[in-house]
Amino acid sequence: MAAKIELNNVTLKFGKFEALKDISLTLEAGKIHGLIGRNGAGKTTLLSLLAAFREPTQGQVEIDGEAVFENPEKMQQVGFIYEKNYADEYQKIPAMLEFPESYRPNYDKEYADYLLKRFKLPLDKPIYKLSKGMQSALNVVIGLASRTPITIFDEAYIGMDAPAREIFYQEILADQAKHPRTFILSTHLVSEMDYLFDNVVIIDHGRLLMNEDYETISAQGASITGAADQVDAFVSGMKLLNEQKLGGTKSVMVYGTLSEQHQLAAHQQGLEIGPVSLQDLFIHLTEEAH
Amino acid sequence: MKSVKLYPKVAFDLFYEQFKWAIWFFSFLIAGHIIGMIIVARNDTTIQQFFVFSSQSVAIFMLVCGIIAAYAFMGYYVQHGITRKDLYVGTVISTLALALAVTLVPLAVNVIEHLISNFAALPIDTDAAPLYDPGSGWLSAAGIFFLNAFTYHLIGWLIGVGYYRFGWVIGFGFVGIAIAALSLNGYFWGDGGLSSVIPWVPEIPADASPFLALAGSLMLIAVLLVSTRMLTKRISIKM
Repeated sequence: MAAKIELNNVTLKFGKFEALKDISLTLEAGKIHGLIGRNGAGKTTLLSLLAAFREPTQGQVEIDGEAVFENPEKMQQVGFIYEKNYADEYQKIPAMLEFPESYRPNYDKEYADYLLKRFKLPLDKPIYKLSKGMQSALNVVIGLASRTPITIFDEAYIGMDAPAREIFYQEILADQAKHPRTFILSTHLVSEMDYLFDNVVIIDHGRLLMNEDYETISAQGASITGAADQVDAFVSGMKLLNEQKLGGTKSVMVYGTLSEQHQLAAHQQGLEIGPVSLQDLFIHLTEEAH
Repeated sequence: MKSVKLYPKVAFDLFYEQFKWAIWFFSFLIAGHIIGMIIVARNDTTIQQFFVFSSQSVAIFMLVCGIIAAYAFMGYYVQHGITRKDLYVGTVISTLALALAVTLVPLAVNVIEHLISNFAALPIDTDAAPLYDPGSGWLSAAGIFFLNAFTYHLIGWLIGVGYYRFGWVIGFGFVGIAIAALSLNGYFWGDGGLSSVIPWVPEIPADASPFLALAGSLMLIAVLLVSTRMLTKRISIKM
């Protein structure tokens, strides 16, 4: 159960401010899409359109070919998980979970119970008393256990410690193998989450910069590692994204596809060629756009 | 995935949630009435019977429920994939049910008080005149009580939606609209009616016939229902 998302020339204005500018993109069904962008790039705004929280000023937001706004069937298919203010939430977790259980057709209670145990969430405490990380984990449980064909996690990990985040990532992959759906993970933690993504969407200042599968994106640059002077000679004239030096060894990220000749030359010189990291590429692309 | 009509479920859940609030509210109100009876018994006077005693507080309770409904439920339901339309229809049905419940509970308590007063002298005033013309009977009294409760909830809902959608500056304008609606409602149902709940509502002498009052009241309800639907039809959800 997964659904395809399509945005056609979507623009969203708040008064005179254009939060999203003419965005057109297709997100394939059954894949994990990473949505990355700098602060204020429009990630949450974009996601709020998919969840029918608001209407675009212009353009269409469609799921499997139908507009999502006020469409009962399509809205039921979208789960939008974001950081919520639980300061006034006096309910306990089991009472809180009754709601998605009742309204989400694919909700899996056993799976929810399993996740609650994995995240070690206390069932006997009111939610406002839980730590930020635990509240985030509860959101994650709701998002995963609801098994909505489109599940959106908008920086859902906020406040979660590293082990909890690791569980979150593991469970996304494990459940995706058993019950494929369309995930959208918006994040700042690019280097930590990049291995999850089948596809990457980068937006900046309300514009779409890139919507490519992960391999295509990592092929847009390369990392070259080897003896420092050799690496320097090799990359001269290339667009450098990042360099790291450890003793006599140097690793440089470059932007742009390496030609076969270059790759052969590198091999002959004993230089190691690897994919570029999404993080470096992201920083480069969004800096360039500024 | 089959699309199912969700508003009946929404209506039930909204009713259930607010009825829980109503149980708390009536517990306090009944306790207050009992305390009142004890006090007036010492002074050798009487207190209004519960149905009359509770009418103003019930109206305010419904007003507050309506205000909270806009904030507490809108984002929550839409986040779980319920359309604004299903939420709207569900809210209206649940409000009708809640208005009926908050009418029946005071009636039931009133009946119990009367039964008790057959055995023991209770210091209650059985004259319903302060609220309704006793000549018109209990059924119409209950009907008016119900319509008032329903109207107050709708007015509260309108205030809540106004604040939710436009923020506090314009939201304050909705309080003005609400006061106008409350005075209109008070006007339809005559003096001694619920208009005295809000102190700054002008007391307009009511000269309306029951038919005109009913027609006017239903028109007010229709205007409130249409306005709230128009305001929430495409409303943006706060995050």
